Amino acid sequence: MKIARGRVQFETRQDLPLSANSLGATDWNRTGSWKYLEPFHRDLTPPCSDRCLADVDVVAMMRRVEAGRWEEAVRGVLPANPFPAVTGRLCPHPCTAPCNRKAHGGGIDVRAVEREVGDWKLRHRVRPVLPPEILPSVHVVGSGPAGLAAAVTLRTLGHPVVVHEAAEEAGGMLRWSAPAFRLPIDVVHAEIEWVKDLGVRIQTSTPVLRDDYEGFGPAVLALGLGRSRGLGIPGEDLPGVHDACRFLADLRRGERPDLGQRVAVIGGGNTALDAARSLLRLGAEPVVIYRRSEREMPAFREAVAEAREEGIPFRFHEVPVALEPAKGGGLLLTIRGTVPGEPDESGRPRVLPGPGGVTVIEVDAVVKALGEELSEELLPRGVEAKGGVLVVDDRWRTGRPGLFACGEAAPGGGRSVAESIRDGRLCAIALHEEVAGAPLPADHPLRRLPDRDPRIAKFKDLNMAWFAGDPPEAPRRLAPALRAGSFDPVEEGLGTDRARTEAARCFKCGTCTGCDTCLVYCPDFAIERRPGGGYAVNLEYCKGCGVCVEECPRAAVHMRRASS
Amino acid sequence: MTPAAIPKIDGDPIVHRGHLACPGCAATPAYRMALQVLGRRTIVAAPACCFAVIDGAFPHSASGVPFLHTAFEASPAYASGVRAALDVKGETDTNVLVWAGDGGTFDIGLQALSAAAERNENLLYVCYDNEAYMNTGIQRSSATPRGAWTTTTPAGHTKVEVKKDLGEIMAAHRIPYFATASISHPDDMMAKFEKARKLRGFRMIHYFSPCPTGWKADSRHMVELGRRAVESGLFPLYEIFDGERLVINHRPAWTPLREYVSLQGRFKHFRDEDVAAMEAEARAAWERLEHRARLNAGP
Amino acid sequence: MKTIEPGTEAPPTILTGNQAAAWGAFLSRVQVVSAYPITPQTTVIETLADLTARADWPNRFVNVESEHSAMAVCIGASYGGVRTFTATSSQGLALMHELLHWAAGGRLPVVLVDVNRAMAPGWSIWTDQQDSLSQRDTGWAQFYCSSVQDILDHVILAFRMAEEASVPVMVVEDAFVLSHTAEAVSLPAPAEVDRFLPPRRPAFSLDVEKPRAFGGLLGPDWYQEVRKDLHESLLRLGDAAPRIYGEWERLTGRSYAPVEAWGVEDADVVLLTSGAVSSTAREVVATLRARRKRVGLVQVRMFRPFPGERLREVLRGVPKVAVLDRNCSFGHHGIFHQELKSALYSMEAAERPRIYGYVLGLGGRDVGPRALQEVVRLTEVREAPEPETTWIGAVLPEGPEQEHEEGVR
Repeated sequence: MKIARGRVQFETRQDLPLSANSLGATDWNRTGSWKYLEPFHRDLTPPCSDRCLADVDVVAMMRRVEAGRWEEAVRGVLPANPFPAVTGRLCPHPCTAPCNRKAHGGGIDVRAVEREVGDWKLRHRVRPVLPPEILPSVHVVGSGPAGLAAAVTLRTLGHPVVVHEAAEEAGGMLRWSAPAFRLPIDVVHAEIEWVKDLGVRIQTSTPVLRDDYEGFGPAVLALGLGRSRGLGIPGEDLPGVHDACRFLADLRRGERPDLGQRVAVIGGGNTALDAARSLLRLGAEPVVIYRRSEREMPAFREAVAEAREEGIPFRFHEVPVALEPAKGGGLLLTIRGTVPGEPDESGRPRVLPGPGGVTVIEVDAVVKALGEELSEELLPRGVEAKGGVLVVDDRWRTGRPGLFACGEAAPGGGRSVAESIRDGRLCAIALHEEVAGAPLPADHPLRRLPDRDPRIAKFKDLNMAWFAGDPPEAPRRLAPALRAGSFDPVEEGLGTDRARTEAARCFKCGTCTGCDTCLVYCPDFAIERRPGGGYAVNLEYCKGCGVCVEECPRAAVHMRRASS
Repeated sequence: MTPAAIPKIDGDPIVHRGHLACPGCAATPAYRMALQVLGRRTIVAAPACCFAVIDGAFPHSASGVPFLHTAFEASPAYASGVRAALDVKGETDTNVLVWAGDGGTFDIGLQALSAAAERNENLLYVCYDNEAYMNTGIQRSSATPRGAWTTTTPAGHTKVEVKKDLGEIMAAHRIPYFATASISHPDDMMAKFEKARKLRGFRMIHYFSPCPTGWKADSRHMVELGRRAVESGLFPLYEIFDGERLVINHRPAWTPLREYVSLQGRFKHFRDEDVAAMEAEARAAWERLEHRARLNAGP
Repeated sequence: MKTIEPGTEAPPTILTGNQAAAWGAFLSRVQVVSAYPITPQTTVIETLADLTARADWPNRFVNVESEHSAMAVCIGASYGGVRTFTATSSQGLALMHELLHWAAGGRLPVVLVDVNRAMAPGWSIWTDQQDSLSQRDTGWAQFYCSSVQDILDHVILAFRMAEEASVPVMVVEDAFVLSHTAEAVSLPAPAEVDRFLPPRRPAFSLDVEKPRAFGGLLGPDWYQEVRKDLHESLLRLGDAAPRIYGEWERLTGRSYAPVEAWGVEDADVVLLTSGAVSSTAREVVATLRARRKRVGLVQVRMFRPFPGERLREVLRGVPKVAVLDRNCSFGHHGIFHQELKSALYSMEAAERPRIYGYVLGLGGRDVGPRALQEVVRLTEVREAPEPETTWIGAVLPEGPEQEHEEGVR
């Protein structure tokens, strides 16, 4: 008797066992030849990760949080987003819009989970791995979210970094614009300390003048816009007419400015809403006046909804045309109706004068929140602006060699903190690659290129049998009636336990979580764990039944024509 | 509805690859799970059934544990003999597992089964019920559901008799443990194997084993068939301890039975009234179960 | 309960055939017994249940719901590597039929005592050989006993032969004539039996350390070889039987042979018998020889493997052989008759006896000296055998052919 390739072979009749019992196993029998279709494991793109403004791999974060591996969750998020405690509070979270969970119990509150990740980072001072500072030093001008993100990214790539900030404290809009009920000042301070702790030097009260750039080597220009737009109407300079940015900055400085009782806030952006909601908390009665419809407001939907639930009235399709002092010390604000016209270059309808007459309302103060413009006089030589936006190429380079730009003044800037953070990172990478003369390796964590099929995992691709339809772990919110008079955060944190529960609710669409469903169900035991995680299909035995594809809860296994 | 969970499973199964089950066979993953729970100190006795083929032809075997092919009608008796030999030799910790199809259990093997149960032989008996004689080519058994097509109950003459209630039969023997299990609820199934492993005496698991080949279904729907059977109330998951205490393990979602039937060619001829009749039978059976479960709870 | 260590208690010296069968199994230190009651086997298992309950070695007596399961339990236990025994009769043996194949094909040394009883319908509890001979082709060795001592010895011998050849062995005794008839018996000393029959050392068994499948699908490439091996093992058992009998004789002083012959050398007529009839035949032969009739006797003890070679030797040159069959292969002949004819066919015509077939004693009809003398007489007077089997012992005379309401007879 001999055994050839695991198969027992008899050479003489006497080789046969007395009782005709088996003498070998069946492994020699390659049942894989039966199939005409074969399964393979391949992650699809989760809709949330696809939409993340900061390129965070949301699903990876959810998996780690679910497992309670908090530090790993932080380390997973940091390369893309060094400030999850900030975005976990301020992000407009477009990731949740396509969340497949919405159709099965309720969408995942990604932001609330991210906030816990961020708070964990701050509580436990989790630092990324820092290489020695052996690369050329980089100057970063501006310490807003983009500047800080660029600084952290450059530091983690091995550059010594100096951040220059004109104001007395770093943080940009985080420090001076975001109101405490959205972003407590402690969080900002903690983030700045964290950045400093990485070895980033931050020089405050240090405006960078044109000539200063001559002494810089490679640098990142991460400027805010700096100058508020005016109303352009008579009476704009009257006492009682305030600038929203300044008002918010005063608040952030710890002051409680008293603007009067009746305050008209002009504008439809986040600054307008922050100002109006702050005024409410100071005891005033704000009204928001916006020249277009609610739909066209640049403010985040969520902010508008919260302002509404706080009882702040809105006047749409109205535009101020004149201001004059009222008897008794107030202001008479003349406003006029508007109608939408043809779309402008931004796609929004132009504002045209309405057919009706004007209305005059009496207020104690007017707060202008019409957006900001670039102060071009501060720009270094060689840096150009067009239409109020810095000119940069597709690698974030300005016209001045070695000077890169991102942030509010750069193209695409000022939309959200998350995008500013992403831009800061990408700009830093571009600078680093130019300085280093080589691209970052594709598997570098800063690159964030998970090996996934670009196809988005849809609800219909998932197997709902494996998921309970339990409702979300919603963060506790301060009752609207209690918000006037309090700058406490509107939204409380979930806490780690509930965040884990919420993360566990996440489907992890399209991605293999190592759940073993395919392995357990394979009738041919052809699915094997790979040493580094994930699974391999042993095609020598797979009969192509398709159960693994059908049962995969997350659409991470697919079928194709058999290769042989 | 609480979804099932995936149990922990060894990546390296005791059962070998290269076995001869059809694509999408539900019996082989259950066999793997059972052997994982019972371990290598297990001897399997199997009558004529799909496993007589699945295990492989001489001189090879897929099982990875001793595997005794038995006469069709006699596996509980063979297993009793194996048990007796082990006990006599002092190998009382070795498990004896009967792994039998529905034909060998509900039909031809019922006498030997009843006797082994009555003797309370220290065996674990798993009936993988694919609701017909699949190995011989889909002939009707007493486990075939009413109305189903088989090659011996062809179109126009489909089965008119109701499926035997194995749980009631076995409960009447007052065996220490009887449980039903479904591939769609593998955590429940593994827990039942584990529970059975720890008990002594005659233990039985009635495993609902969707057979894509015999049910004229797509092989990829193997688990989904089990799920729909459970969630439509057709195959309830429960346990009976000592033939007395009945515990319902899972409340069905009462999904329409049409969803179960529609995946299978053997019910292709079903009209709405046939589905409704099947649904009514399932409801009635469920009510009997609930009634029994309530009796246990006492007044 | 008092434990009997064989030999520590005065052994019984008077036993029925069934008790002797039980004692044979007990002295063989049987480990698993499984049985189902059927008249007239019941006292075998009753006695054995009592004996094994008091045995001082681990054993189990499995009370099953059918003979079918009894054999299945024996098969399972035998695969488990232990010594197994069962006893049955008639319908019970017929019910076991499929499993007899399983035991033999599985090469399992199961020992079975069959108490020969006629098959129904109508119900008969009395002896004939139809039950055991119907199992002729299952691959079991068969030994037909002619006394109580035979039975006791042959159960022990059967275990020895079965385990040596890895084939199952059936020991056959006549209902009531042997099963319920008490005779003086010499019980071998347990230590002697232990020496003759050491603990079973299975050639293979269900072993978790060496997992194998038993009885799996055997394709056309292998099946015939495996069956040939069974066939050859049975033939080898036949070759080994004289040696094993010799060992037994040295131990106990009792001699047996697969074929036993008396007065054959000068005989004109030789009776060929099996089972308890052989004892009667011995008396008849002695009586007739005292009357100077040259009558001889051949008792076939071992039916499978069939001792054809030995029979050719013994019967060479004998003019006439009268075969007594307590059975009938309906539509042909008595089974020993046809077996003998087939075995002697290869002899030279000059040396080959003429063979006369007689069927008698079915369903327990008494086979006494007169019936045997009638057989001798008919054989003497007939120059050549009748083409058809001769039926002996008719109670009613033959009448004219007639139509019956139920149909044509």
